[in-house]
Amino acid sequence: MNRISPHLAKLLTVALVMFAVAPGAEGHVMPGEAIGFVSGLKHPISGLDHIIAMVSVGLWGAQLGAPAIWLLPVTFPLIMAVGGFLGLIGVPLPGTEIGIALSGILLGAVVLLEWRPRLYWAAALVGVFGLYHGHAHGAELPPGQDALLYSLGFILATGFLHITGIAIGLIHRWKWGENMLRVAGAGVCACGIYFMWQAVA
Amino acid sequence: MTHESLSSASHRRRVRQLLAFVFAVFPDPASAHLVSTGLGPAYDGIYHFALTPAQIVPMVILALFAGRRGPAHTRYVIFLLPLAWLAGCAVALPLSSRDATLVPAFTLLLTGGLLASDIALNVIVTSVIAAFAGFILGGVYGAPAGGAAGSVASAGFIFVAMSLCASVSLPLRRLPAIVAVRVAGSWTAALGLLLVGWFVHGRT
Repeated sequence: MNRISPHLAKLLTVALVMFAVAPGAEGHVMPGEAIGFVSGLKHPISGLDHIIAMVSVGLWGAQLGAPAIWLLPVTFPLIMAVGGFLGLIGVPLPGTEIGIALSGILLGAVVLLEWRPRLYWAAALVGVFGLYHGHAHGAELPPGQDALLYSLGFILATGFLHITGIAIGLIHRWKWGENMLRVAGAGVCACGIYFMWQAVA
Repeated sequence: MTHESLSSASHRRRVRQLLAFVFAVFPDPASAHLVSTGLGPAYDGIYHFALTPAQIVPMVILALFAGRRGPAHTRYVIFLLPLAWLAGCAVALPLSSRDATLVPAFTLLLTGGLLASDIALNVIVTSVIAAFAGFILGGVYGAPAGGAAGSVASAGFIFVAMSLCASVSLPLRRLPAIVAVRVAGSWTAALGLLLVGWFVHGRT
């Protein structure tokens, strides 16, 4: 009768043990895949061009005061979702990168100059740029496993960027705060110019 | 019995003991069952419901909207929606998993839009919307864990959760708090719109 050698028996035992306690493979989860809430949360904060625009909306809202302080952050995510919808279904929007860079320049400029237009003009300006940002996000969204959780994280991250902007913008009540906000607006504007240079170069 | 056969038997015994030890120390959780709390079918049903944000979010938003509209709207919504949800569970809508993704998309869009716009609806319209939302959410998601007991327990859980959410928005009088609730509505509507986009994106 053929017997298994002790050496082979040990090898088989080790193989069996490794097989029994093998953990789940995680190598197939690629960065950027829409796997759930956390990846959705990370998406809007993964690009400086998006961050500065969304924070600027909050800053401008805080400068303008009520009702713009809440109307602008309500408008932006909604219009951004419309842009995301268009991007997801494949409707092209020409000059997306230029539009995003322009949003940094103009939103930075309005914060710098503390421009006070009529409310509907402010909402329209924010809305147009929301469309561009949303379209870029929608077009880039990778195939996902859980669209709901991904989108939930995505919307929450966007909203919290606006809230961050509003929270920073509350320093507007002090004179030094007004000046700081203008400096921040200049910084955003400079970033926007840099992104525009990158977009057209 | 020869020395060789004794050694082989001893080795096999050691292998069996080692494997038994390994299986005992590193058990893998069973994934075949939906959810199992170990506390019975009622809790299994509640746990299953609580792990489905596609059901929870529109219900919470609708409760907040009902609270904004006043006690009469709230009373109808918190009683009608769980009952309609139970009826939906009993019927179990025959939708494919792909088409079923449209249900949370439209319920989120609808309820979020209502809350964001803070629209003044008739109490009958609010009740019909609550019943409709409850019925289709129950019909699509239901409560496969826990059977009938799980469904009834989940309906009770929905009633309590919606009552609590409505009690948050019902007494709101200060503008910042009202704005915060409406912002939650706008974000929910945005979420619904993105989900519709995902649906169409998957189709193309």
